[in-house]
Amino acid sequence: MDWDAEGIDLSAEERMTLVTEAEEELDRAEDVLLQIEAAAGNFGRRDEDQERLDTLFRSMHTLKGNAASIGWEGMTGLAHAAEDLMQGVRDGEVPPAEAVADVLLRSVDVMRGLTAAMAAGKASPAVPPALVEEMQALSVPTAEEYYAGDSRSSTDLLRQLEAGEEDLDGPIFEVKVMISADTDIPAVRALQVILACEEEAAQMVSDPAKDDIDGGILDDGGRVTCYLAGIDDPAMLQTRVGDIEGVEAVEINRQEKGLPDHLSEEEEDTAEEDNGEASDASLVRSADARQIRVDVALMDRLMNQVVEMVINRNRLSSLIDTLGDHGLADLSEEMGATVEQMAGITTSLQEDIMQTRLVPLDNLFRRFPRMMRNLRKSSSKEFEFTIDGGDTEIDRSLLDAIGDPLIHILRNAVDHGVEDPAVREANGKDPVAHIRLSAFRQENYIMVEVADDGGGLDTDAIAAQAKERGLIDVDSERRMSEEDVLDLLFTNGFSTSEEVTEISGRGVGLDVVRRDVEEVNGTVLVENHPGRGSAFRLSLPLTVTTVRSLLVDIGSQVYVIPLGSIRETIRLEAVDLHHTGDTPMLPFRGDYIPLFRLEDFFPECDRAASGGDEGYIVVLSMDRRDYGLLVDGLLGEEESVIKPLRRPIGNIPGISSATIRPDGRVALILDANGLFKEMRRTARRAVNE
Amino acid sequence: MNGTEHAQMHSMVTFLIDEQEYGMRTEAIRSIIPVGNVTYVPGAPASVAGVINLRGDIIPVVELEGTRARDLSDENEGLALVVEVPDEAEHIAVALVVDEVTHVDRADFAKLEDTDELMVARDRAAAVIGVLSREEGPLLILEPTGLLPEEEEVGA
Repeated sequence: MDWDAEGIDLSAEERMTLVTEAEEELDRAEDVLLQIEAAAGNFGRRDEDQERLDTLFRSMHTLKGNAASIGWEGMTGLAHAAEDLMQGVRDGEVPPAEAVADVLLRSVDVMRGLTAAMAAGKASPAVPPALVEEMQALSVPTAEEYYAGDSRSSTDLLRQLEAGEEDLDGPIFEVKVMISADTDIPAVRALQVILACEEEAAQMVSDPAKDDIDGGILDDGGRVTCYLAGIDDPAMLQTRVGDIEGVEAVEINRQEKGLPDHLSEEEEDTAEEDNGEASDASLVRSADARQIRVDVALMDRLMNQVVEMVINRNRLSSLIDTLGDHGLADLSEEMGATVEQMAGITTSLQEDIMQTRLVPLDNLFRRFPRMMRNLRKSSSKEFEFTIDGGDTEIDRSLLDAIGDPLIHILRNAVDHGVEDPAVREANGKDPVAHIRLSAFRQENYIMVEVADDGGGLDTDAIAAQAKERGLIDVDSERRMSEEDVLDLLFTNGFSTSEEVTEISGRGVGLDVVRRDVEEVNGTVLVENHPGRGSAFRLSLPLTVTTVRSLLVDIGSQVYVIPLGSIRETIRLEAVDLHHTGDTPMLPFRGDYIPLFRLEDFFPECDRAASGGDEGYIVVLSMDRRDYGLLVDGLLGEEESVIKPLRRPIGNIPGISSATIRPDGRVALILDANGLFKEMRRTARRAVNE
Repeated sequence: MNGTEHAQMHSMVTFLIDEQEYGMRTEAIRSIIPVGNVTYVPGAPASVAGVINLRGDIIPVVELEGTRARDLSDENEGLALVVEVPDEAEHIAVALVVDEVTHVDRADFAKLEDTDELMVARDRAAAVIGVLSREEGPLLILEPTGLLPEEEEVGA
């Protein structure tokens, strides 16, 4: 069913707000449910447990309310059943046993499915009725009554309207509508009626209230009553409501203003009740009041504008120096001071905006315990899963980018990483394996690592598999180092899994993981300890918009090298190069590393380093391997603003992006990893030819 | 007008590359700029001379074969048309280096004739949509769409 076809009009924005809120509530609920499950029947003994149950109940209540407000029927019904069950648990009438957590977890899964469909604007998948029945069976019957006793008299409605904040001008109108029994979706029609009234009137109340239209059921035989104040055009209202499909009869009556005295006396009571409800709502609201939702696109635009300012700040600074050169020293000095002040503001503005884009990795990590629990249940492996460093903050756009790669790596850890308990025991290890997801900051990078204490990676098996797949031949295998072999894991068309299992190996491999991570200028690294486990480490840039870098001169053109990939810089004079093969080798920290020129990477490059004695070697680290790059000079460090390169030059390996120099010229940002990989590929091809 | 064919009058900018005159619809041209300070990009397709900073955007500079030799890495040595090239989702601005801008003219695109393969250098064949015969010699009409060189797989 299409949403529009159901008569519900949601803008893309409204839909996304709804979906985001639903996802948040589901995350929150799942977190509590997992704790209940882990406590194995001991939940509820501690004081804070009650608070968690309250949270869970509120999540379900919010979900139901939001879903009902737009007539999202499947979601409403399911959340309603879950809410009833939770209410019983919260009130101590249903024990928080594993069975309860389990059925609720399954409901959360279904609700996620509904949310995903909603996000994609697709028809909702059907809610399995058995799930709702299961929850109802566990619930206590009183919950049902709680919701049944919710119909209100017309005087209640009027009083509510009178109690409204605004002064009521003019008459109050009573609108009585009958929804046809033949309508497929009476609740939606009722909602449409209420929404139409809401739009026409300055103030209104209705029975049923908007939030109480539940699960597609209209309690009162299809009757909807609204009281409206501040109507411009009653005739217009009549037409609008009458035009709604499924509306059989509309009756609009003008009411006399004012309430009978005996009703006014009771007002205090009602007010108190209202306050009781309101305080619940205000609790929720006050928690959110200090935060606002901002569209990510808007944040991106803000960031871009600040970046432009940074570039202009640099430009201004260099212009002021020129003023001095023209004999305008006084002016130069005065302007210099002003610009410096502005520069300071720009810098802190940039930092603040960058800060607003940071989110703790927990936003992503908290999804994984659930996934790992399911994997544990569906596999023969025994393992513990721990998370460290979830409070490490990362740019929002990176959070989205590493979700899928991490899912894949974690699945691999369960599927290929850890051994069966029997095997572990035979090898003298704890039968329960350990998988650890951790994050930490290292200089200008955020490291996210998945480590297991399994059997490690079998390089022979990897090489054999690659040969079988035709990725390498016997000759090239002989020349491959261990790292080269491990690198094969990331090659397109490689999968070590003998058979495709349910957990991993669904045709998407580590090649996609690498591609996703490199797309955000990150790298993936494997660490292998045969017999003791393996680790996959993602290293991600701290920010996506600027990078600390070293400026170098190669062939009288400025290039930018991110500091994160530089090990050291050495004067060319000071070293003794070895020319034994095609590539000169440089002694470095007790080892020999290859020394490359830019034209080694780009054979047609006609502006290369001169290689004179004035030159420098920048030692770059690619994963754990180092190599030297010959440059003509070092020009200093800066915070470079990253600008994307678009087609037709957006995809050159070794050049990740560009930056704009204070003089307005473009400088290219080199990617040490990309350069080296390209080099190795060229070398391997040359040998094969 | 002969009445049987509808005239398709377009305003266009005409310019010279390698002594051949070309024309391009005015709507496709964003601006005419002095071009210099070009940053050479190793590994880029042959017709891309490099990149420049155009008001904060980094755009490629396309230099077709035969364009008068100049050192584009110096300040404002050349002349370029900034052209909007439609790409998959967005328009990409590209600076096309020309030798000289000659006129702003009107022409009837209904009178476009097919070009002889031999008449057009290969690096611009995709961009030339036809030729207008004139007394002073043929005028080749360019469309921005064909100006973007195919991305070369450097490692392939």
